[in-house]
Amino acid sequence: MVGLGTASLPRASTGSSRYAQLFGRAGSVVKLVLPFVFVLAIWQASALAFGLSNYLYPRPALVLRTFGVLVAHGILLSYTETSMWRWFVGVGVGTAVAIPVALAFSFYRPLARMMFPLINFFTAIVELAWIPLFVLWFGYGFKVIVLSIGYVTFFPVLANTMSGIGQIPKVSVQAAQTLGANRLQVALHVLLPGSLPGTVTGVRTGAGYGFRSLIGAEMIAAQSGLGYMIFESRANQLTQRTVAGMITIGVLWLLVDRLYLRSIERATVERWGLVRKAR
Amino acid sequence: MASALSGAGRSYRHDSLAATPDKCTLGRVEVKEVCHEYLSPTDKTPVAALGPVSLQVSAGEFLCLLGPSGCGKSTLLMIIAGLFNPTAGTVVVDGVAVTGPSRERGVVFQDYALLPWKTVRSNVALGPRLAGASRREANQVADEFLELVGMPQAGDRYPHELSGGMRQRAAVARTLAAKPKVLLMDEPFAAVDAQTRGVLQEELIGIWARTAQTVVFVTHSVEEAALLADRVVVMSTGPGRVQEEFPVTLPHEDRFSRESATRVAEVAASLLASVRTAQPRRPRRGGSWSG
Repeated sequence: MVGLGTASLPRASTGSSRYAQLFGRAGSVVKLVLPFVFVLAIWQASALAFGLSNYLYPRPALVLRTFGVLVAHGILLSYTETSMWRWFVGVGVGTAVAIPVALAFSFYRPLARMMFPLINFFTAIVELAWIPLFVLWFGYGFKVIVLSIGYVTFFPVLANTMSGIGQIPKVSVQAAQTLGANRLQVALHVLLPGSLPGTVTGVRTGAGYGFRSLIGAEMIAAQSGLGYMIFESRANQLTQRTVAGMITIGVLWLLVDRLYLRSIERATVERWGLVRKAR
Repeated sequence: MASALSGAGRSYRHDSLAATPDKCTLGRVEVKEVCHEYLSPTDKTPVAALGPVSLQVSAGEFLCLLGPSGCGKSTLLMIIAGLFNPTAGTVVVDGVAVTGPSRERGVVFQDYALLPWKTVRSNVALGPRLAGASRREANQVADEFLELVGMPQAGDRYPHELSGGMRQRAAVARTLAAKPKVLLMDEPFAAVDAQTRGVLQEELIGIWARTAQTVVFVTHSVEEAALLADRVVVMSTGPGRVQEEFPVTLPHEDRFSRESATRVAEVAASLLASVRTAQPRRPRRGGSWSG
C-alpha cells in the first residue's frame, strides 16, 4: 500500500499541475475579461434605467454596430494607423532628445543643477497649453501632434534616465576608465546601457503620457486620427462614434503595453539580471 | 593556456595591441611622499588617512600591501590607479607622473566590477575595443584570455550567471586583456570561498609567471601575502604608513606544495607579528576606501 501510494504520488501531482496550468490559463483570461464584462453590464443596465436617447447615452449594442460600420468603411483602421504613427514618432523624438540631455547633465553636474528649475518650470506647463502656439508656428497636423507627444515624453525619460545613471555603481565607471575609456566611451559602454532600466521605465511612463497627449492634440490640431474622430463625432450627432473611439484607445493601450513595452524590458534589462536592481 | 602567449613568454602574440615590447623593463612604480586626507563626515574637518608613504615597486615584482583595516592600503592602490587624487605627493610609473586612470595600470576590483549588460566575452574584449581593435580582433583576444584563466566556455554568458570565483576569473582576464604595465589588485579574492580562493591564488601566480607584469596586490590576509608576494609591505594605521617590509624568498613555484606549507606558514607568522603591532591602539574609523 505504501509502495503504491508513493508510486501514484508523482502521477497525481503532475495531473494536478496540468489541471492547475489549464485552470491558470483559463483563469487568467477570466480575470482579464471579468472587470470589463462588469463595466459593460453596468453600462447596459444604466442605459435601460435612465432611458436616455442614443445621442445622449449610446447603448452597447449601437456602439458595437458602429464598430462594424467604422471597420467596413476603413475609417477605424486608417485613423488608428495615423494616430499610432504620430504617437510612435512623438515618443521616439522625445526619447531621442532626452537621453543625450541626461548624459550631458550627468557629465556636467553644475549644469544639471542650474537647469533643474527650468526643467521643472516646463514640466508644469501642460502640452495642451503649447498647442495654440504650435499651431501658429507649424499649422494643423503631424508636426504639432508629434511635438506635443515628444514634449510630454521628454520629461519622464530625462528624469528616469538620470536616476538610472545615478544607480550605476561608481566602480563600473572606474573599471572602464582603468581599461582606457575616455568620457565618450564611458558614456557609450557604461552610462547608456547601465541607465537602461531607468530609461525603459521613463519610456513606459512617457509613452503613457504621450498616448493621452495624442488624443488631446488630435482633438485640437488634426483633421484625422482617433482624437479627431472622438471630438468631431459629437458635432455630427454621432456620439456612438465618440464612444467607439474611446474604447479603441483603451484597447490599443492595453495591447501596446503588453506586446511592445513589456517586450523591450524583457529583451534588455531582465536578460542582464538588472531587473531586481531596477525595481 | 599558452595560446595567449608567444614563445618568448614575455610578450603577447597580438603585437598590434601590446603596448609594451618588453614587460620586464617596464612597469616600475614609484610612490613619492603620498598623503591622502578625507573630510570627516561629522564636522567636515580634514582627517589624515594615509601617509606620507614612499615605496618603490620594480618592474615585474609582485608586491603585497598588507595591513589592518583602515591603514589606507586600498586608498594607496586607488591613488596608484589614478582613481583618487593624493592630497600631497606623486606616483610615477616608468618616469611619467600619474594624473588619472589609464589602461597602463589595470585594476582588479574586490567586487569584480564586471559590466552586467555585457557578456563575459564582451567584458574581456572591452580593453582591446577601447584601444581601437575591431570587434573580431577584440573577441579573439578575449577568448584567448578567457582560456588563460581557465574558462573558455563562458564567453557567451552574462556575469550574473557566473559564480563568484568565475566572475573574479573573468575580471582578471578583462584586466589582463587590456595589456596593462602594472596590475593593481584590491583584495580580489576576499569575496570568494576559501577553496576557490586557493585555486585562484595558484592560477594567478601561474599567469603572472608567464606575463611577468608588475603586480601590486592589496590584502588583509597574512597567508595570502606569504603565498603570493616577492615582497610584502606591512602598513600601519592612523594615518596609514609603511611599517615594515618583508622580502619573501621562497620560490613561487614551490609555495603551493604541501612540503613547503610549513615554510609559508613561518613567513605568515612573522607577517602576522608585524601586523599585530600595526594595529591601532584605539578603534578609529577609516576612509571610504580603507581596506
